[in-house]
Amino acid sequence: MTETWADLFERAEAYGTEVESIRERLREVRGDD
Amino acid sequence: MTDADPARVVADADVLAADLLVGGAARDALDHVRRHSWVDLVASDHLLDDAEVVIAGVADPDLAADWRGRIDDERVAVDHPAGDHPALASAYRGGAAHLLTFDEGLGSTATNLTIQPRVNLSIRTPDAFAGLFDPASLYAAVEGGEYPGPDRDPRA
Repeated sequence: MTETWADLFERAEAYGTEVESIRERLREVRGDD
Repeated sequence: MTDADPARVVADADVLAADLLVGGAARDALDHVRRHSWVDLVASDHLLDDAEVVIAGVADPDLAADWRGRIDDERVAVDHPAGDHPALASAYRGGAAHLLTFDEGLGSTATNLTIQPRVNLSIRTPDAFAGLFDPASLYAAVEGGEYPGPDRDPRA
């Protein structure tokens, strides 16, 4: 069963992620470095 | 080639991941999509693959897999060759009028696409899109008639 967005957002909050770490990881994934 | 559909939106992998993990402008922007059944999120498997890998890397694979299960149900799927930029190709092949990205240079980046880009694709940061999104005028243009307000719970 798929989770609600509310549940997914609540679980995600625990990681304290910042946009810049996402962008850095995406550049690595796409080989844009 | 058909015109881009103003009710079709593509979010690049950074915005998709930030919607889940950060909130802020990315979530504000995608909440506009989630709360309107007549606004479509367009994404290829390649684009979702990128976002899932990013989420797994900065958070954890279980969360990434559950997110993928949810987003797979909601997106309008399009296909494109693996070498194309996933966000741009999703937008062009899916006829989207809006592309959300944190990469402000994306629009001017030299890309190796297998189809000719449309000129009427608007590439914006999530906060710019969220600030400019006007559901009433968009509804009138796309569906016709008076905007009835949001018709979905963006947290459901």
